[in-house]
Amino acid sequence: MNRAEMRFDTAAHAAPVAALPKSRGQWVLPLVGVALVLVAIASLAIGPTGISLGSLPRVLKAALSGDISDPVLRREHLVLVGIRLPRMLLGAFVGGALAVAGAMMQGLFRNPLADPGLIGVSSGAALAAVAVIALGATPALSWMRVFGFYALPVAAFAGGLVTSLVLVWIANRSGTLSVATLLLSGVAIAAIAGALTGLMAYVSDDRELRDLTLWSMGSLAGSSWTKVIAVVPFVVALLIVTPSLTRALNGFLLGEAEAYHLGIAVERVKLVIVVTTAAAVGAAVAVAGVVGFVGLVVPHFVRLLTGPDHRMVLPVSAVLGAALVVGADVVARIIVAPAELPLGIVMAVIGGPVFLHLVLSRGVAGAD
Amino acid sequence: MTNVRFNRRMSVALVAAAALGFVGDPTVVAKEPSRILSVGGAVTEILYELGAADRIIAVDSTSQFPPEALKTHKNVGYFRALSTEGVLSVAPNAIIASDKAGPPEVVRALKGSGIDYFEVNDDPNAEALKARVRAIATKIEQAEVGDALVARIEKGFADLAEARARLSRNPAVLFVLSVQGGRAVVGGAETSADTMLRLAGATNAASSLNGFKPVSEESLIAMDPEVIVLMNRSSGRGIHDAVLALPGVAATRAGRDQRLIEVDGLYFLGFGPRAPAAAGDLMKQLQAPAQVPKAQGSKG
Amino acid sequence: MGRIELSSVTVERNGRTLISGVDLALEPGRLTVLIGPNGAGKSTALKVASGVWPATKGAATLDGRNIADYKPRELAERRALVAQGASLGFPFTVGEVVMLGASVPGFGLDANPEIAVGALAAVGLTGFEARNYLELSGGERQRVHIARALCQLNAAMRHGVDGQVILLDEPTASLDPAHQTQVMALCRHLATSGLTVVLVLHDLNLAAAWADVLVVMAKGRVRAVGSPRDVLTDDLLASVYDWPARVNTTPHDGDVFVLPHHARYMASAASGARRDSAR
Repeated sequence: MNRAEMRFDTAAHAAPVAALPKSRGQWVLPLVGVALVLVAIASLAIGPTGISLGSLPRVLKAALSGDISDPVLRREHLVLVGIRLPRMLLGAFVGGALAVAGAMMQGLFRNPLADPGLIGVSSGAALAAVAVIALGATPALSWMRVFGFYALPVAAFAGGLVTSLVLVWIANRSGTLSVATLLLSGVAIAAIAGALTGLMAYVSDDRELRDLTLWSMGSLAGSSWTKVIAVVPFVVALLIVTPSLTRALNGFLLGEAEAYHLGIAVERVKLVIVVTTAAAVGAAVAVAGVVGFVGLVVPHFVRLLTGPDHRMVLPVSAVLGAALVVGADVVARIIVAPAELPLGIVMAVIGGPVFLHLVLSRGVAGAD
Repeated sequence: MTNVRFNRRMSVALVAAAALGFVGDPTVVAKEPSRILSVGGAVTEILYELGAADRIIAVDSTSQFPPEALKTHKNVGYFRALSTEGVLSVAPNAIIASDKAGPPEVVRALKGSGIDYFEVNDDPNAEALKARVRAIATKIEQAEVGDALVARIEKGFADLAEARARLSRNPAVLFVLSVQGGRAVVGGAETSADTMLRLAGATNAASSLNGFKPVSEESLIAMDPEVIVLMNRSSGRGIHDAVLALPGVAATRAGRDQRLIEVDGLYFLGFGPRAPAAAGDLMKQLQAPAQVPKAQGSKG
Repeated sequence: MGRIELSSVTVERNGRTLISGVDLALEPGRLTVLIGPNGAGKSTALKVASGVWPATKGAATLDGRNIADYKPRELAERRALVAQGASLGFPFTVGEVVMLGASVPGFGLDANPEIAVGALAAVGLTGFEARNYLELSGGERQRVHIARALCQLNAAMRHGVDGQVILLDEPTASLDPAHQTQVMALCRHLATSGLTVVLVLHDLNLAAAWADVLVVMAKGRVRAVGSPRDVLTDDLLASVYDWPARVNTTPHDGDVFVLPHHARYMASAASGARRDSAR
């Protein structure tokens, strides 16, 4: 310890030790956590059938005892446990996964305007979805019928993952994963996927086109417990991987060479980020269609509140993203009941003006 | 067998009705099902024709005929974007739905929810039309009325066939669905438009295509229809002017003679019970040497 | 401990040879300065020494062990590099940037924030902890990154690591004279404390004033190694920089300083002009 003092004795003694501010915005995480809980409760309590949480104790008791023969009880059970609960859980997953993926992309590309779609996941998923919608009835894709109802989500997930892996392979050919190549190849692949998507939309009939349009606006209407279970591994994976990436992402902001000097295993971290993002976004798109806005805006907004330290940005983004999607879904379900608005539209309509106001009043966080 | 079905259905409906606080006069036995959610424009039309309009409690957004269907009932949205809880919230005791309703997970959830879910084939051809009329009629215990409707439909088609046989010629007709980005989207082979044109005794000028596709100016000229049938919008002149403005059209016989006929979308393409009438109207229009384009069939 | 050696190191990238046959011994307790014209390979040599670029031929070792064999974290505990123009586009506070130095996996969270305060004081940025990094001038930012490197080394030192190296690539580039002196004094101080201190400098006189060991490089090769007094001669500078120079000593201390050789410069300019007009 003597040498430490020796090193800094030029000035340290003179100045009183000012405590470094702890992570900024430590109040934010509890606040968004509370918001999430409130929104989740609202999501269970509100719906077009008018069934509210008062019925919950009855329903739980009946579910536990195995006796749900009473038709009224059955209906309440169906609505609360069969519809609203899985929908809320999937909404939270989709929002959290997309927000975290967006934050990681912004750290990887060192740009607060990056979004998860940059690595081609969304375009690949959309392409696969269109293929299923447009060609699902043809012999070429008849083997997909084995998936039954889940042909579309499975295809979307597979399409997103394959596209990202292709991109990583392209960007990795020199031995190191070049972020610049990743970005540009992502643009190229998105263009190709877009062209193929357009081609298939061309051969679709009116009804299929409408389906595709609706899918690309995002919706949680098809939520089921099967999907919730399918999504659990992704939640677990994200929970494990994200905390270990926070420091690496901070270091990355200085540049890859700097990050290397700070002892970060740069290549491995880049790969983990890309794979994690691809998996998270692929699963989210598979479950809810294309939900824009969350991946770009939530991390940005969070940075305005907490500063750019990823130890705050990642968890807060996850929670805020979840709360945002669950809340938007509540609005989507009741505003034109008994019909339903697509989720992506609600989010854009609510979030767009809010974000615009934020940008105008506070400035852009760090894009200069 | 019928009695058993009747009794079980009756008890479910009564319990549901009681649970919902829907108390009816016990001396009048309402026909079952009494709270129908109708999903699909053709389904709704058939229900109205069968005189069951008062038993409908909600429809989907494509149920546009008759107009009061949407105006006087709740709207559960587009039939391929249904919401489980939304449907449940209108508390139907039966759902009569096109087999094209979606999304699949919602349909499955509804089928498993204990509500009577009755699927009906939606294909746009004469046989399927008669089958669905019969199926729906049986479902709502209006079998005799249904049979009468089917008989009328059959007669309608039979009359059409006779009229077709007497035609001296089959004019070349092009069906234009819409104009997008300056190009016409036309009905090729294997579309409901194609079926209707042929029922009306016309030949489809776009039969070299499949499905509804956009075509280039040159193709329009090559097709050279004598008459163009347009799908109009509920408001205003629709695409009439847009079609006339297409340069390719001016070089066709239809364009030169200004022979454009507007039809209402659901009336013409929906393949509901009005299908024979729609085809018949078109046939008359095609055969008459029309000087001015007429809008037809809009308010049925 | 803390000795870096480059033995006959050649670096080829993208088909170009950046340095060839470079022998370099960077010793603890000394302030070593690399100088030379643009493209001489100074930064390349520094990068090989720091481990971020591998040697195409030859060996680079730290304490006798090949640098490539070290894991990134092991290296991060032993050496820190301050690069030129580190860019950071996000609105961190100065304190947060400095603490990034202690974010090496394994000893980040228990690093005492006081280390950062001391590091900032050492570069003359006391009280800057809460300032927004993006609002600082270029020179101030440069000093923040030096503080970050100090923080990195000090945090590692608290884990018992000895024999550390600090490498700096043109750390004085955007600084005014007072701060230049302060940074050089800091480097001298670190060397005296036992660190291996290696700098790349552009300013000949700054190098001459402070270096223990001067390494003159040109066109990818080492031209001379030694104390400033021994190495700096008129002829060497003229050949390395293609520029007529006069090496002088100050009357009072005998320190070495370099000035352009006015007479020779004017003569060669005139002869060049005559040559041109004769064509």
